[in-house]
Amino acid sequence: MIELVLSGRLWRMCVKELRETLRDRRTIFTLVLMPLLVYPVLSLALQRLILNSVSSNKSETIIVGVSSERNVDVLGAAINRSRQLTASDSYRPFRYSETVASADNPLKSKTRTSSQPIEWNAIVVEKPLKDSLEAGEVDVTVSITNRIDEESNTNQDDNRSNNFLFSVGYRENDSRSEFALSEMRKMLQTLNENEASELRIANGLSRGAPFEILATAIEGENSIASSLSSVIPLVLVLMTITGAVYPAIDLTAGERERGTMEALIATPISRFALLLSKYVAVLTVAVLTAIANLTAMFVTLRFSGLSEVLLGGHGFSLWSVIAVLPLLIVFAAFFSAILLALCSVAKSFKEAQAYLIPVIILSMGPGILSLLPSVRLTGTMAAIPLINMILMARECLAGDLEVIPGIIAVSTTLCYAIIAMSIASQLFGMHAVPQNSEVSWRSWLRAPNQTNRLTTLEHLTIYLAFFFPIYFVAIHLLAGFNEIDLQQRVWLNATATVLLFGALPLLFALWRKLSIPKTFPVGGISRWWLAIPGLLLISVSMWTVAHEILVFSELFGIASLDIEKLANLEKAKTEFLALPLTTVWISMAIIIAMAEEWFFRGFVLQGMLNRSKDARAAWISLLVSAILFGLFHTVAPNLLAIERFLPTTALGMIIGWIAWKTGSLIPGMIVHAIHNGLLFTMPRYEDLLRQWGLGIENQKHLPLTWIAGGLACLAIGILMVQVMTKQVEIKNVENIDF
Amino acid sequence: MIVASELSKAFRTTNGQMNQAVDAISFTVSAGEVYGLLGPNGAGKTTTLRMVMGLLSPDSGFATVDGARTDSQSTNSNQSEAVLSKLGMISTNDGVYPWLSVREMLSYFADLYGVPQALAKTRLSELAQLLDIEKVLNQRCSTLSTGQKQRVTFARGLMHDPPVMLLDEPTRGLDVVGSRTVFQFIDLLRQRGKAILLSTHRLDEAERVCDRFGLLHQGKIRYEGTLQGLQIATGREHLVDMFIDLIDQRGAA
Repeated sequence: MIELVLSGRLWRMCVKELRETLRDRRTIFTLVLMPLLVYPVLSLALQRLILNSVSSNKSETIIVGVSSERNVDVLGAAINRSRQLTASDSYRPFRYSETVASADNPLKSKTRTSSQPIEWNAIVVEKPLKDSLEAGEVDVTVSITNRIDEESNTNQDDNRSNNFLFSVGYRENDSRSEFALSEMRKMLQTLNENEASELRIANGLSRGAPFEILATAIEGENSIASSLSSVIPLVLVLMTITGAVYPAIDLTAGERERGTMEALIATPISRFALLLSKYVAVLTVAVLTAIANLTAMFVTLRFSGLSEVLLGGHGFSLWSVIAVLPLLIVFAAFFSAILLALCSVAKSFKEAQAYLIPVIILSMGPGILSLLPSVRLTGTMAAIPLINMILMARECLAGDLEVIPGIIAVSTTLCYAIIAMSIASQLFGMHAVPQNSEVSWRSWLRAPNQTNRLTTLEHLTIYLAFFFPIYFVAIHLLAGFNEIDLQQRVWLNATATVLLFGALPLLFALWRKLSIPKTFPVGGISRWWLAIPGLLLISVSMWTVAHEILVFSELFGIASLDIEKLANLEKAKTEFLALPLTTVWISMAIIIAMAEEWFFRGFVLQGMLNRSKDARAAWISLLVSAILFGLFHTVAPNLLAIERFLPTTALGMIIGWIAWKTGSLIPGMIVHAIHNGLLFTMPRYEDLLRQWGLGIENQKHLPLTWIAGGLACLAIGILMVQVMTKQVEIKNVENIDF
Repeated sequence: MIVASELSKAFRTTNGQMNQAVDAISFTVSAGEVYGLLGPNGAGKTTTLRMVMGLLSPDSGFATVDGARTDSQSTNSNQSEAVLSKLGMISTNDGVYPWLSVREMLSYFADLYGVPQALAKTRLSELAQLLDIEKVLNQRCSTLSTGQKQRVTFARGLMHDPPVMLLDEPTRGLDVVGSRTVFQFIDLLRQRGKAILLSTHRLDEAERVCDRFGLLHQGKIRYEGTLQGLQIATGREHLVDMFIDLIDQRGAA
């Protein structure tokens, strides 16, 4: 594979696929013509829709809710005065720059036609103004206060010094209510300008505006505009799919239909490389489609003025376009792989279409679900394919994207892409030869013929791709149990860990017929019992190193704990201290250590170590497994505990090294369990620890003597394990030779 | 070069029964020899070729090329890569890429076989001259005539200069002149020392070009040998008559 990349062959293969696709008129059609046609038409339709909804309820009167009769009088006087002024002011009927600037905007031009005086109808509302506004009984609410009244009439001599504050309440995203607000603003501005000019003439003085407006928004619901704005991501995603569909079919099923598949499969190149070049081509077309659509949408919305209406004040900025594009690329990476997996099994264009149509229709379901405003990108939602990307795009456009669910959404989506690609590479070319009818998607699930196989990199990748989303969802489900008793929760957690890290990898290994003794080596105490003293030394000293690394990494701002979370921790701590120590040791130290060792040092590390006896490869394997160990420990519900990464990775290196040297998982389990147990026991002896000068809670450095002692213990322990296992290793080699 | 040993393959038909397409077929083809695999439609010729090619895995038996097995199950990936590079297959069902030019398509396949680019270039012009497709090299494949397409397919199968060629009905759909060109070309390949396994229904041409024959019927080789040997064995002078006998046998059975 590397050779293919280096020699440029893979690149030339991709170029061929792209040539083939891009020269095809049908690709160009979806790529260029569709966006050019769809968005203008769509935007015209939307404008019509919004215009209708706006004009149908705007022409008549605006209903203003006020709290008292006196307010009615003031408002009435203000309206009358402003009408007189507007009528006499014939040479500048519309002074409002926003109206003039968007003269070609039909939505805005609606407000311009208001040269016919608007009918205002003020009603006195009995209940609180806000309630009435929320209920939709009135378009806006106004309560007027005369500040002069409140300042106990100190400026009696100047009877023109009235200063009114109009507190206007309106519904956000409600065109009628927003229109009423803007009319109110205009009216008061007219009054202010008149007042100011008169004053200037009178005594050259300038004061603050006599009429002030204070607008308060309440959230409007079910407004057409807001629901339309969430359609945008869905449209973009669907258009990206559309772009990828044709090339995906053409480059797989089409290859068969043209009769080129057999010749292709007969070449010595690996099917995965073939598929990869096709994947690159499909992905490229999908991304080009996404860019074309995004551009077309951006341009259309910008020039039709729909942007502000659909997306609120800030509109569809260039920034949001740039932010959405990477999301569409991630999505395209995912969906291209899905499409290829589906099309790879098809024998013809027709068959491929038959497979794809249900999938596309099915994917509309979650797409529409994600339109609901209450559905947010949190927790489990972030791991659901398609929904997570649409939600992420929506939040991105709205400008309130949260980082952690975003990272989860992107990484799970990429996991799904890997799974789909692995399925596709198994299926691709299987139908190159007709009559071979037993091949289907099931063949991917079928167990291999050979037994006692060694883990391959492919196994690991596929497993992790499956496992990460499962793990993530499981963590969130567990977090949902926060109201049950801590003791039960601890056991629940232990069970889940055993299932996730113990049972799942074992099942996978059984299914793929991997060698169990080699993947999960648990025996061979004869090989490492001499190293037990060294192991014990390591287990009791490891925490000092981990703690120092933790404090060290926090120096660089790597931390996710904030005050609020610390407060929660305090509460959790008191609960935790109430747990029996045996429960803590069994459920949180021993069981968890065993399960995690089983997975990280067994399935992951041994799987890689078994591939090669080379020491350099072994060190790389150690590092990779340790990093994975560290990464998994950073995933917590709705937060990434990144400060855990470095210490856990370091521990993963040490324990991984032990597993490598001893060739068994048991020593690592012992070390891991003792380490965990110590960490959980320490808080119980806080006073004692404090006497020793250890403020574990305060995220402070340990005293130097402790660091030195810890390091020394660790070093001696490692040395002992090294020496003791070396002797045994030689013995073992002799045994094997026998 | 080619050794087929007890190759068998059965397919499940739509009504669930097993159909023994190829039944324990064995034959050998040496370098510089053209072996004709002849038989009526459905005799199992294409299935046999595909098993030799390694595209279909046989139910039992195996095929070797230069001593290496072609079925991927028994070999690791490096070995099967080496075997595949020695094989060239041209089938009547082979298509071309409509949107690529002839040159692009041929270079692509050279690349898939790992032929160095410079070598691919010289080989391409050589083959283009030999097969008379020089004029169409820069044309899109969709504009080619049937005969031109067939010659392009030939060039495609030869871009990696394999010592073994498997030809499945290379003349189907071609007119007399086209067929003649193809058989002249097969003759040329033989002179260059390639081992050629040919399945065809052009019996007259086959008689001239093939060194040995295997007469296939209902998945089994009924007769095998040189034309002379076959004539003695069947008591018929021409392949056509032998063929008709075979089909009559089927009708009788």
